Amino acid sequence: MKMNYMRFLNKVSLGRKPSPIRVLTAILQQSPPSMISMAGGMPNVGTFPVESASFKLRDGTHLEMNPTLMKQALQYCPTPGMPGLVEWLKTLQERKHNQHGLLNMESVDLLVTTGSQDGICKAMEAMVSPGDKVLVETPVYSGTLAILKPMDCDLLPVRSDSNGLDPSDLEKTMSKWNLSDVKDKNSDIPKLLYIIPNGGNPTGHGLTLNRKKAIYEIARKYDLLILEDDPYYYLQFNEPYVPSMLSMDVDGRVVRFDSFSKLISSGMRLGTVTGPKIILERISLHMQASVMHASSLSQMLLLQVLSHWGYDGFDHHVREVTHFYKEKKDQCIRAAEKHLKGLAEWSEPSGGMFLWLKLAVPDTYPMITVKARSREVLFVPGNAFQLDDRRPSQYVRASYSTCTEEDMNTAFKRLAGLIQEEQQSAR
Amino acid sequence: MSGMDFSPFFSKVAARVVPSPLREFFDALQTDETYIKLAGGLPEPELFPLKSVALTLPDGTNLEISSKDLVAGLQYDATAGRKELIVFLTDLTKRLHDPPTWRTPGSPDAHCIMTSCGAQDGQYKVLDLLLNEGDIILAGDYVYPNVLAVIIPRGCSVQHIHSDEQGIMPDHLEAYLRQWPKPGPGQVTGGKIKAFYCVPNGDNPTGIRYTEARKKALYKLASEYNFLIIEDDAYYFLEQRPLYKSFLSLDVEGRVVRLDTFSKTLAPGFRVGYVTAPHGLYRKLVAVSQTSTQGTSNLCQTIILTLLRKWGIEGFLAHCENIGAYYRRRREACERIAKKHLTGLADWRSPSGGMFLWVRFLGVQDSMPLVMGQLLERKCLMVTGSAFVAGTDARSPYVRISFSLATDRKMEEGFAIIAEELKKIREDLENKEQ
Repeated sequence: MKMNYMRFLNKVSLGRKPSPIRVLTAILQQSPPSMISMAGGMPNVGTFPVESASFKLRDGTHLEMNPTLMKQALQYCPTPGMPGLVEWLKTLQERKHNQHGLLNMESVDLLVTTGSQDGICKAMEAMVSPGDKVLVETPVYSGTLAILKPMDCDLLPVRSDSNGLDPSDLEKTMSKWNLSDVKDKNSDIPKLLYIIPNGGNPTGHGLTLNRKKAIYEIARKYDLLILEDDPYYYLQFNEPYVPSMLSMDVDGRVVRFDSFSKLISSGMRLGTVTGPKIILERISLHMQASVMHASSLSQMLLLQVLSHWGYDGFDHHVREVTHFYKEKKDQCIRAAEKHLKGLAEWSEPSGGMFLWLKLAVPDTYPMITVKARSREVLFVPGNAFQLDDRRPSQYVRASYSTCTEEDMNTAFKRLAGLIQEEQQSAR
Repeated sequence: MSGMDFSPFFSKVAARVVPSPLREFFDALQTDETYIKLAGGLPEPELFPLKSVALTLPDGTNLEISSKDLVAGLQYDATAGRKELIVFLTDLTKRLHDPPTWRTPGSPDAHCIMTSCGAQDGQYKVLDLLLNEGDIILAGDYVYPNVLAVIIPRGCSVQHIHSDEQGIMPDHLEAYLRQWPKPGPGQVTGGKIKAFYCVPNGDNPTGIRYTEARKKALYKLASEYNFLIIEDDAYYFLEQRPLYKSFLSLDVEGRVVRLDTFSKTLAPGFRVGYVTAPHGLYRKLVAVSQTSTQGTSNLCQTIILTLLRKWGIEGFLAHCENIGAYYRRRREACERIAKKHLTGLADWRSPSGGMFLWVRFLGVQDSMPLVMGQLLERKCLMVTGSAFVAGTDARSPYVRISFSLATDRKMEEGFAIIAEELKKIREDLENKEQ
């Protein structure tokens, strides 16, 4: 099936042109030293305030950024990312998501973004046109809602349960349109589907392989582009990992977002977008006019760490991180079982950092924002993850990432007290 | 001073952007240690592999980033930027610009500072908040192409206003604006003139410098015709002392958005700049940052903060002066070499600052064929003037020559090649005429 990517890109995105200066910079970078460049306004490396740096890792290793590397780390770099880093990450994607060789790597590109959030933002801004309908699994990550709500688009909810997005609800939603609507330029048939397939935010749920396959088939049927937001892919608690949507993407209809925020550092602002060249080119042009590129220093540091580890070392680190969060998850479930039986329901997260609790109260928002203060405990009320945040929600999202076991128990004990109080005052 | 009403300036999308009330609630409580927090989705910092960072500066000094600072630098932080860095930048801004909106305590329009991924990102976010399809941004004869790249794809336009060596000429600007009636309260001129954009020191590409008098005249027009002023001042700190008064320092009404960057004074690889905006704009800027970049690299902010703490304001300004002096020496060399090869073939005005020589090829209407043709083939790179003008059919005899990186030898080679090619064109023309 040949994808028509023009169908997905909006007017503003298609109107973007390469910056003449960045084009010249790219020519310069591919040229021999005999090239005379008086083109880019790149500052002279002799003026940079840091000469070299030494980084110590937790395992005791020292990584040196010598003056040559430091100059590169402090200078402008190509918009898609620092070349060495992009290569390393492309190979990682191939190893992780192309084990069966289904991907056409020639038509897949990768960009380094200022956190995966910015990648998602730029992707939405490239592909959502005024009046569009966008399919989102609900409940949906509040950060993505914040991107989409101000845009002139309709959000179509697709139900999810403890195994993630429900393909039968997706099919039901899409069946309101005819297959012929795909070819009709005037149709309002949805074109984009946004999902967090693993360790969902807020639910902690993950899609099974069968569900992913079913979703992909529906996407093929209705020519949907899938935005696979996967910051918790490496935080899945069970191995082998459920294969990604990218790994089954024979058509080139998946745009995948990875993040280093949970693995290496959230403050360094580093994520990646992997997907069809034509779509990624549009995102790159947008970056050219805004952030220009993700921080070169952050990228260089990441490259040093990843090169030092190698692909096996990366896997080892990721396992350590997951082991930690899995223990935390177990502590959290135990605390919930101890204090919240009969007062709340939940299902076991398959990965990530969150427990999604359904409380035996009608609306958690007033309870959290008003009464939780007096009990000195904080959760995120579920309405933050609804398309309409004014409607009541029985849910709260609890994060177990940075809490000690003792504090978790205290917190759930206080929450239990709150729930009982609510129930009393309702009578 | 009555408050600025920003509602006529915001785009339709921006009007719908609201800072999350939940975030504000949590931000208020985050500092309270007695709360047990299971709210924020913060990763566990003990899992981050980086443990310590030590920097060596060019003078041989060693600077260690404290572990407390490093933890903060590796974690999510306030979107607006690391608090201590904002404090430093506030002090610096007070010292250099003494913003009028800060003179009245509790002023609703008081400027606030937010970090951005370089000034470019700041400029993008500001314009993104303002532009509806069909809107107009006022600018000089030539504009940095990345600004055009934000405006044009949105179906908006840049109105180039004639400039001289002091900047945009107020008479020309007024003549352009007079085609519409002056806007009433809560209106912008023509319903679409949102802002005026300039690089007031070492303009990219023309190298001109706006005088204080010129700024005052333009501010008056901004007030009469109710448009914002976007002051993109990337080369400000490199300028010869004394520094000229900024638009920010004149901003009694709260209509100036100032963009600063560390790209030219420290390094572009950090991707750290800052936006100083009136509060009504600042709130929305933070909100759109929350949904996109979520601030900028905290690690880089932390390194910059460490450097700034070491230097203090005076040390930082002295550092900037040294860099400015370095670029002035490069500029002198560039002009000397240009003069040697190009007298009679091209002309230019000596730039007041910045990194560029804005050269006009004589007897040539459009520099593009030469620059992207023979000069590129002969491995000599520069930017055509037409890149700085809105419109695909733009033609310009100018080229922008950067003297920031090229060595004297490279410039000799480069200018010699340009001279040869210009002579060829001249000879061809003379032959045609015969």
